[in-house]
Order: sequence, then structure tokens, then C-alpha cells
Amino acid sequence: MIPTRTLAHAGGQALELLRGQEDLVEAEVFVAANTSLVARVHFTSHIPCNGVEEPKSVESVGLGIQAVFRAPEGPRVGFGSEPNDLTPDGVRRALAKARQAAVSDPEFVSLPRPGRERRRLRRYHDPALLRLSDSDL
Amino acid sequence: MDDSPLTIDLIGEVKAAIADDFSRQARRLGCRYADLRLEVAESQYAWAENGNSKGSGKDDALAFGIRVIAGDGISAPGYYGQTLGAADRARLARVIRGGLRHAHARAIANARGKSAARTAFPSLAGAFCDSRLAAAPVHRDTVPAVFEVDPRAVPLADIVAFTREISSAVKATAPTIAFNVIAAITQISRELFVSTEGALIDQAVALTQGTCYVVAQEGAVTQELYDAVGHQRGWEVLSRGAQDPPGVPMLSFPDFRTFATTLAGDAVRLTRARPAPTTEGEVTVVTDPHFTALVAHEIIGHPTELDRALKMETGYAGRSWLLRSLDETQVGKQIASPLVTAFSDPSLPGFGQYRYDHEGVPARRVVHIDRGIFQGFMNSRQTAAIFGGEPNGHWKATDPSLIPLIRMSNTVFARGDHDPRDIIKQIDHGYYLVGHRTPSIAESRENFRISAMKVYEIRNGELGQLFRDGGIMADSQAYLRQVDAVGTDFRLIPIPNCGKGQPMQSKRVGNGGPTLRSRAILTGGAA
Repeated sequence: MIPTRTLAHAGGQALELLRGQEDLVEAEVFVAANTSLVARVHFTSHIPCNGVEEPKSVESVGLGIQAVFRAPEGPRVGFGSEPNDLTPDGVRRALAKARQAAVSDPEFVSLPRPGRERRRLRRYHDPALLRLSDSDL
Repeated sequence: MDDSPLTIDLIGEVKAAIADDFSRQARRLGCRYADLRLEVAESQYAWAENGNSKGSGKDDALAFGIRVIAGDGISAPGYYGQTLGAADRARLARVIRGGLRHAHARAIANARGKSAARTAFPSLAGAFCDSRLAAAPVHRDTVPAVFEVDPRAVPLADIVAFTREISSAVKATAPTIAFNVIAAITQISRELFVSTEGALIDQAVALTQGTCYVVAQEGAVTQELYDAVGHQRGWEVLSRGAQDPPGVPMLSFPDFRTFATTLAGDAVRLTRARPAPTTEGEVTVVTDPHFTALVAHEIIGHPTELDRALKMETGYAGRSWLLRSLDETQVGKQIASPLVTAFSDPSLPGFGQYRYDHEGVPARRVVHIDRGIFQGFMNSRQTAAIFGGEPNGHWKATDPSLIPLIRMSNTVFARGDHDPRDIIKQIDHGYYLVGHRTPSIAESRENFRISAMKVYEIRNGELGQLFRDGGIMADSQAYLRQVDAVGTDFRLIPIPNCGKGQPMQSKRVGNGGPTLRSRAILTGGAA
């Protein structure tokens, strides 16, 4: 499992790269690593079954960029993402997709501004879940 | 660094090498069976609200999924899936090998657990079986995508302008149109399937879909309508509509602008209609093909998915009243009127069309009901090994990283002999339901409630008052047994969002049928 400090570093690198874009008004970067580990139990006494029917996992890693670009007709808003590449190359690909997909929306005001509330919820997960093996499950 | 976008050409470039490497690695690990699905999709999409563009995208996607069956004594399955990106192009074989090792280790752990459970719980473990797949012919084939206007060739700016203009046109339909969303997507995907049995199938599919959501409001009355058009073809589906096959089309809809503005007009008319009454008991009801499609989906399609019937999904999707146990099923029994025949057929056009399913089995027509007699289920190789019969190619996933499930292809009521106009003319009093909205179905599909876009009262063979917020409610078997007229006007309807699985797989399927007449309770709306 990719550590959160790696995700945070990738996010910081992405913001640095975005700050150098002359046509960029503002942007958000979202970086995530997801692993879903599922064991579906299925038992029927009177029909042949596996007991554990679907031991499976799905993994995905990526970053997404929501960006507002400066344009003669007014700001253009676009989103682009790149899976499985948290390097500056991945950021550049995501940004290119966001720029290509940007649209002019007269109702757009701005990206959300940070609120005043401070984060209070920390370490609320069971760290053992991130180390769970198939045998354990 | 290769900065070029991923394209479906990647599958053609790597398929031989990937197939060879996968099979060798699977044999080295000692897998009894293994298969791989690898897919690239190139898509473009846009959406607009109330005449303003809200977003668009041009993207590519790469993912794979692996199934392994392994075990020293008793065998068991293990699965692995992963989403990839352009950076994985150069290391694809290595990534897939890692996934195979993971799926194999998972299958081995599962097999050991199953074996231990048989020892620890001998009275319960008699049901634990070796994981087997029913025999199926092995195919090596290439299936090209079919389209007139290549989804990759449409400029994204044109798609953005298209959705914005249609959203503006919907808004301009009437001052009482309060809100609308117009979305369009066009894409081409190419999937490779390989197995340790020697299968190598390369299937490409084009897909184009438009969806319209509209809210009309007049005073305190609000009407929300949602509908979609689509086909496994190119952009021409939205710019010109579809008539497939030409001449006597089963799949037929106009260009997307006409479709969306017509839906908006319906929403406006419905705000001026009275709410439908609720009847004390059953009344005669006639359903148009669009409504019949959702009846086919809910009370024919879902209960004939064999994984549901075998209770493999009881926890989150329910079972089927068509099978209680392997010795106690409705196979061979009369469950419907002799006028009712229903089947699933992947050779018909639309969302449910495909050549091979996601375990390489050639897809074929499956008859569920033949003149009222229940015949059988859609299945997979695993469920066919348990229940019996040959695999019929209905194991499909919405993404290669996800495990396939038994899904509908084109599940329909067959056409009959009645002129649909006569079906209504013959009625002294009843109701005509046009267009489906929302279903609510019992856990084993034994009864249902489905709401309609429009309900017309029928008096002396003529359509009369239009009502809003109506629907029907019935016991499934009673409804099927009381079908006394089946029309000649067979239609296929694209259903964009059939949900099943954990994680959820929202799949496009085809459903349809003709005008049907039966009996049900009419459910009404609030004033």
C-alpha cells in the first residue's frame, strides 16, 4: 500500500508544477491510492458452493487535477486524471487532459475555498487492515 | 518517456506476447486454470445543464483482471484486478505477472481454507465442491468494432457544443422546464481474453450514448423524466438516430436532439395531468414496448441469472423464485400464459450485443420461457458445472479489473400476433402505460411494482385521460399467466444502468418486447 506521505509528496510536486503554468488561474490536485480486498462468503447446504466465493482485490492509484484556465472569453474549467503515475510525467498528462477538456461555464464562480474549521478526525482507521493478507481474510 | 495517449492499437501490438507469457507463467505456478482480460478504452464525453456546458473529457483507460483456479487437493478461485495507465505500457508483462502471482496465491489460500473447513465442519462442508468450469469450446478470434463515424474522430469541441445546444433547446421547450442535464459519450474499446486452455479473443466495440434528465414544474406539481438512447456504434447514433436493422428496425430512435426535446414536452404535459388513481384490485393493463422492456428486465432477466438462482448473491441482490434447490425448480413448468415466450439473445442489436462473453464462450440465444413453459437460465461456466447444461455466454464485467457476473444481454419478450391497436380497441375499461420509470422488486423477484412515465385511461377501446405518477403492481407469476394479448410491435430499448455486484457494476444491457396486455393493480400518485 502506498503511504500517505508518498501521496502528499506527489500532490506537493504537482502543485509546484501547476504554479509554473502561465494560463492557470487556480487548481486542485487530488491524489489517491485505493485497494479493495473482498472475500464474499457464500454457503448453501443443499447446493455445491465454494464457501468463500470471491476472494478478490482491485487496486488503483492516480492523481486528478481540476483546473481553471485563463481565456479571452472568460475562465475555462477542466478536469484531467492519470492513473498509476504519480511522477511529474503523470501530472503533465493529467494537466494536458484538463486543458483539452476545459469548458466555458458562465455560472462558474471559483473552486471551493478552504473553510475555517480545522481537521479533527485523525488515525480513525485500523492500521492492521492495510497489512491484511489473503490468508488472514 | 512515451507521452502519446494509450490507444486500442496496444492490444494488437501485445496480444501474442502477453498470451504466451501468461500461459507459461500460469503453468509454472501450477494453476489448474487461469484467464486474463486486458482492455484499452478511448472515450470522449461532455455534459451541459440548462444550456451551459459543465464539463467534458477525452481520456483513455487501461486495466486488467485475472482469474485463477488452483489448489493442492480441493481447488478454489482467486481473483485480482488493477487499473493501469500510460506509464505501464513499457512494463505491462511484468505487471500482469505480478497480478497472476497474486491471484494464484489467493486461490491457494482459499483452497487451503476450504479444505480446512471440510475437516473442521464435516456436517456442513459436504456442500463445498471442487471449483470446476463446464467445458466450452476454445476460440481464437478477432472481432472488429462497427461504426460509421469513428468515436475517436469527433472533435471534443463538437461534442461540447452538441450537448450545450441540445440542453438549450430542452430549456426553450417551455417556460416550465425548471432544470435539465444533457450528457453524451462516444467511445471505442478493445479487450483481449486469453486462457490457459488456449483461448485468444480480441474484441473491439464502439459505443455511443446520450442521456437526458429533465424537470418540469408548474405550480406545486413537479415531473422528473430520465431516459437514454444508445447503441454499440459510432457518433452517428446521436447525430442521426438509429434504425437497426434497416427496414423493420428492432432498435429505433430519432436523433438525440429530437429525443430530448420530445421528452421535455412529455414532462411539461404531465405537470398538467391529474395523478393516476390507485385501483382496489386488478384491472386490465396494456404496456407499450418501452414499459414492457423494464418488465422483461425485472421479472424475466434478473430471476433467470443463474448465480442469483443458485443463491450466490443472496446478501446483496436476492435470489430467484424460479429455483429453490437443484431438485426443486420451475424448469418444465407452466409459469406464464401460452402466449408468452421470452429469451436473452446477444445477437440482437443494441447494448446487449456481443460475440463472446468474458470467459471466451460464444454468446447464444437462451430461451427462458417457451409458450408459457419455463426453460432455463443465463449462465456461466462455473454455474453450468453446478446446475448442468452447456455454458451460454452470459458472464460479463463492466471493467476488466472487476469479476464478471451473469448479466443480461438482450432480454426480451418475443413478438406476438396481435395488432397493438386492436389490443387497446378490445378493452371496455383499462389503462395504457407508456414508458418506464422506476422499478421496485421483491427479493426473489416474486412480485414487482414499476412506475410509468404516462398512464392513459382506456374507455370503450379509446385512449382517454392522461395521468401522471402511475404504475402497476403485481405478483410476477400471476401477471405472466394473465397475459392475453402480445403485439407485433417488438422493440429493443437501451438500458444504461443495470446494477449488480460488490463492488457495484452498473452495466448497459438491452431489454424489450412488444405491447402486452395483462392484469395488475394500478398504483397512483399523490395529489
